[in-house]
Amino acid sequence: MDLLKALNVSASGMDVQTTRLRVIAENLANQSTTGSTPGADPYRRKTVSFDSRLDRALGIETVHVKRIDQDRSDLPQRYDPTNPAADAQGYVKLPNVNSFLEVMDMREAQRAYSANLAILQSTRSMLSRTIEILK
Amino acid sequence: MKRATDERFLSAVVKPAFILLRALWRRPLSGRCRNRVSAMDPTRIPLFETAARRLEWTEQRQGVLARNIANVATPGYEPRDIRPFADTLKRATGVTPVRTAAGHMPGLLDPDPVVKDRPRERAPDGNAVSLDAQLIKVADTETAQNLATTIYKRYMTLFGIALGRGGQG
Repeated sequence: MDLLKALNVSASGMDVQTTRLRVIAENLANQSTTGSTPGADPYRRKTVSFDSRLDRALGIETVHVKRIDQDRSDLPQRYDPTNPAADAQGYVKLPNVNSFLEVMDMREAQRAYSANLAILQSTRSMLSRTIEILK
Repeated sequence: MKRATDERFLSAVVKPAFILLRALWRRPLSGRCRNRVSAMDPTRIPLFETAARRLEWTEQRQGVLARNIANVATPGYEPRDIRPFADTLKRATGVTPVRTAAGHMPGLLDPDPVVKDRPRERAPDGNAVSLDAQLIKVADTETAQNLATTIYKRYMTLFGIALGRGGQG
């Protein structure tokens, strides 16, 4: 039955968007996490990528998290000699998290989540209307 | 295109309604109509067949649209759609080639209903799903399904009236 499959596909869509939101939350929470030893690397921003895969058990293409990577971009530095992570010159490496970027990503994830939720609700009402035919 | 589909669908609805109403008012019927009503076989009435086909179509389309929306952030994903209902209807009532020898190829009158959607925009990562366009299609599909099930139920009520159940189905 296609409607039940549609429910599964929407559920997988909501699942990946939840993972995306979780990663965004991790990034935002760690936006000032520096290392604890002198010259150590701080927290690096994480990125998520998705991928559409065939679910053999259900016979449908659902969406999955492909992998969670680290953002390899340059780390900003700040002069703070009293910090425990400061190197010999007194500079501390800071996380490469840009909160504006994260908030924008969060909005996008939120929008995708509600779109999936909308189609889930629409599929549910279609299902119940089909069942109502029997009444 | 959509309007044409709806008109086609409704025309398939009006004819059986007429047959049923004639039966209810016990007016003289033409031979063809009498046969249909006396059989009282719901599968013989084109309306139910059309409604079943319409429901199948909306189901398939909902599945395809759900997949498009779930893949709104998948790089390189191309949105898909189902062939318009008018096409499905045309093919269903059309002529199908018969294979008279074992070596014949099957006719190509029932191709895959899933087709590529023409994308309006494309993100830098190659994803071409537009959420708004997809959600409009979902709303359309839901309306079509609502119409089909409502008409189906209404007809069942008519059967109920004909059987003397006071329209309670």
